[in-house]
Amino acid sequence: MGPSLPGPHVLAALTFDRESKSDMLSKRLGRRLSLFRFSRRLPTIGPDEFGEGLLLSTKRAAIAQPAEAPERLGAMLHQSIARVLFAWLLVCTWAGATKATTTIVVFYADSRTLPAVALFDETLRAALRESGPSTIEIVSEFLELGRFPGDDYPDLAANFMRQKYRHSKPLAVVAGGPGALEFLIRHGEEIFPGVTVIHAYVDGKWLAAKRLPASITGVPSSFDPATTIDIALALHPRTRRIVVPSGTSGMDIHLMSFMRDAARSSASRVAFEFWDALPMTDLLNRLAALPPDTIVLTWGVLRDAAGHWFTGRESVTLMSKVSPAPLYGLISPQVGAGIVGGYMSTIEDSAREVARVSIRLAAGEKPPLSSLPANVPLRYVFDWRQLQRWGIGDDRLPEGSIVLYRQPSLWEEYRWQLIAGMALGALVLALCIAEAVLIGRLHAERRRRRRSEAELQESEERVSLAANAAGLAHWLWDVRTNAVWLSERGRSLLGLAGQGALDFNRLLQSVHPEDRGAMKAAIEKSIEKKGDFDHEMRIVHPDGAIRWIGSRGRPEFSEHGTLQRVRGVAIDITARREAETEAQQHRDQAAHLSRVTTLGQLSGALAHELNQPLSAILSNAEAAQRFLAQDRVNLDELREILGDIIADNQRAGAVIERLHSLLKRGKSVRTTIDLNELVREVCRLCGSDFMTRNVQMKLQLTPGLATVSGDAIQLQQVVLNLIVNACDAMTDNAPERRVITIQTSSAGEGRVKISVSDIGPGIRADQVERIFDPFVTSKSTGMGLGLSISRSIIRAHQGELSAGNNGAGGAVFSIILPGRANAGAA
Amino acid sequence: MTAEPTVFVIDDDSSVRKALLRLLSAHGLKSVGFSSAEEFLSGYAVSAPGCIVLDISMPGIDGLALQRRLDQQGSLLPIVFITGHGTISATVEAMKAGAVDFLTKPVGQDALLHAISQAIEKNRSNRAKEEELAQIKARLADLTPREREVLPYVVAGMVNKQIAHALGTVEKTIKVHRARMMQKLGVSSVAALVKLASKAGIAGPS
Repeated sequence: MGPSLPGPHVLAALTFDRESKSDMLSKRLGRRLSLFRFSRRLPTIGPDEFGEGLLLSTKRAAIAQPAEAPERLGAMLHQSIARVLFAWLLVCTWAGATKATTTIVVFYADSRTLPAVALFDETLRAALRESGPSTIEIVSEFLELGRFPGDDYPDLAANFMRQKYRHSKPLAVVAGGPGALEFLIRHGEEIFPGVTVIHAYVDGKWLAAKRLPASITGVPSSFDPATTIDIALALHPRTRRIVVPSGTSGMDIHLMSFMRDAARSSASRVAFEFWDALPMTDLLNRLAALPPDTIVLTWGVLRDAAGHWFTGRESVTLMSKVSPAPLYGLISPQVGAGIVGGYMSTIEDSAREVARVSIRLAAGEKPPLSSLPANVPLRYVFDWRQLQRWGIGDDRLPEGSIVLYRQPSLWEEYRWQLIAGMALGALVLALCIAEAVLIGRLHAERRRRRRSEAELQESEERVSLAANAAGLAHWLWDVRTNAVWLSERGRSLLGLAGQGALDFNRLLQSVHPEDRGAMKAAIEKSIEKKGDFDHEMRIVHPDGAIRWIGSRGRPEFSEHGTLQRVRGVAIDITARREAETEAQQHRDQAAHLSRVTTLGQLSGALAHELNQPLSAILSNAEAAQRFLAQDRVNLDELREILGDIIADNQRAGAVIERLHSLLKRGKSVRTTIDLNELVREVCRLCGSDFMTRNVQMKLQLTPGLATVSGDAIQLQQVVLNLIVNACDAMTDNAPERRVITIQTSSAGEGRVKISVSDIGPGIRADQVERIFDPFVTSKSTGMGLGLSISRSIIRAHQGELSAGNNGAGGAVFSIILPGRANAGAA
Repeated sequence: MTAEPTVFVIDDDSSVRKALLRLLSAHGLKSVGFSSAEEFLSGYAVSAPGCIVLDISMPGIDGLALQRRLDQQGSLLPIVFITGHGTISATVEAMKAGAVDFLTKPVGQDALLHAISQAIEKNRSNRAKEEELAQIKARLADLTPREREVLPYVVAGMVNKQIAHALGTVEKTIKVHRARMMQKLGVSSVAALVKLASKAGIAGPS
């Protein structure tokens, strides 16, 4: 007879008459389960020889509930008749038909991967088993209400449940947490008419406020912020204030009222700050700025002011990552997510209370049950890792504290193997024990792994959720092996989806050939400087598409200073880059448009430009005719004339060429313009010019200016032209003396003014008016048309463009435009 | 009046200036080129015979400003304006200030030569008038104060008795002054005197 095992999950041994079926099951159960096949029937065994476990002896169990099977696996050892080593016996609590059973259906609002949910489920099952022969069968339903947030999802789920359980009448339904209870308050009667609902891990005051019918019973949890505050202050005696962040959900608001009550009794010792209803990003920013003499007391933020929902653990993890102050909490599943600890009802205690209530119901009691405990006991619970972080020794914790996540000592970790080693060296009987121990160890290992897998999965889901929301991809380059890891999003960003293992060279190949050198250089520089890098590059996808990618990262070094890896994130910035290209096109367009609209004014000046060579050509030709009519023809003179004619002809051609470039088509459109925005837009347009010219731009924009009616592109061209002139005027200044000041202001009578001021040499007094004439220029390049065009544009807007010198000796150009209310006349 | 008239070509555009000089020389006209108003002002003689061909738009002192400057200096050189593009206001201003013509580039030789010949003719007559006026002024300068005093009264058509009364003297004295004045000015009749006086800008007594 084999020893009964303490835990619920052990390897499964199966009996099947055909191998193919066991293979199929093996495939379904995957690596979580080792299969031992028996080709013959199991020996007859009595009920008291059963340990916890699962006998997969029927097709129904194997096929109808394969996914459930590993959750419920237990096994026991059984000595084989042949007395060789050992044999296996299993009992199925779900499908095993050795006893009449009653069923409890446990509802969870969340996913089974949530550690709190898994822990509750596990503890409840264990508690029921521990209480005696297994007569209560447990079915768990994970509604995952948060994951499918459609308004009608709860109704659909309820409908499905009603169909699913239409032939079953469970003993009771358990609401695992407040979310599940709310679901059952609304839909319990329609799914299971007349059924008793046992609530678990639901706050007593919240329950009291709901005034629930007698068919809903259970032992309430309770929150004790005051004691949590006491212990937090005892562990952090220098604390000056306690910050309590809150969300906007009903539960958030409910818990906040608790906190306020608790705060009143502690207010003499420490200051309280209640942060109501912030968006998560703001909350995190404020947390990050907290001084260390602060404590954060939180139950998580379930819904932030922006309407985003979080699980308690999610929000606590986010807060814990940024907060320089320790977090204390009220909710035991959040121990492990980042809070140091607190005085709280535990999930395990809640589950045990549910087990007790279930057993009483199974024994025939009817609700309301008499003499239920007032609430689940509260305990001090701490996260060992957080205690380490804040330097709090075990000796400072109150008696009876539960410390979770303690890292085991070597002995603790390998004890079972050592025992197993010794046992394996012993006799046959000892071997049995050893095997049992080994299995126990495997069981514990599996249990731990399952829990950490669940946590890891949750953590990964959380990170990838955030990263996906931000469009971020993660990458990691292990420099020692040259291997590159990319998140799924990263692979799709770089067009490497479906590729196998990657190395740095393969990664580099996906970069546009022209950008490869710069990217390598950026990474090398960051490695050399041991600093972050921030680089933008083009990526060529296999289909030839080009995307712009921005990547930030940081090299990581060992403690000896050797480079280990480079880690970073990447994001698609194609849209931004395209917007920049578009801005460039706008700038070009602006220049063309303004030229065209001022062509009327220019035509005279251009005619002048063109008429000069034409005039010379005509005179020369006529002179040549005259010379030819004379008796003695001077051929040298004629050759010279013809040469001059050709030169002037070419000159005329050049003027026409210039004219052509001014004649690009364009259309003037009048809109309502905010001059402040227009100035900012122009500064954006020429931001890169300022950088290369070392020009500093000072904006003094008066808010709330009247808008003007006009052609934005033309007005931009004017401001741009004034800025470019100002830049040109300061070319000879030392780089630190290149400052352009752009001011906007009200000019009275509903008019608005923009002035562009530089600290260059200024304008000569006799030139102040002439500079607006066409072809008047102080520059060696350019036609001297800019100011002339600008003035005609401003005049077309019923405004005035004037020039002068400022106090600093530089030039100042002022545009005065009528505000929109006054511009109607035109 | 013996000096050959010269056409002064002022244009900042060297190829235009060169072509014009070439054309004028092909037509046997003496011509000199200047690249700016300043260069011309420093190098010309007020008395030189001829005319000016002037580009209206030039850097520094432009065509219209030079016209005003020359007028102030009493230049007798008529101006033919040429311009790349004529504006009405510039044309009006130039013509009011006595320009001979206002031609738009490209300038055909017929129009140009016609304007230049007109200008030279105008210069010739201006110079003749100027010379006559100079002679008149020289003769006026010979008069005694009393003779100069009598002159406006005679021009105004007053008889000796009236003049003597106006000047508070006797008729006989006036008669002597009048005869000397007529003799010095080289006129034998009151009509000729009136003509001379009008050329010299002398009106009757106020």
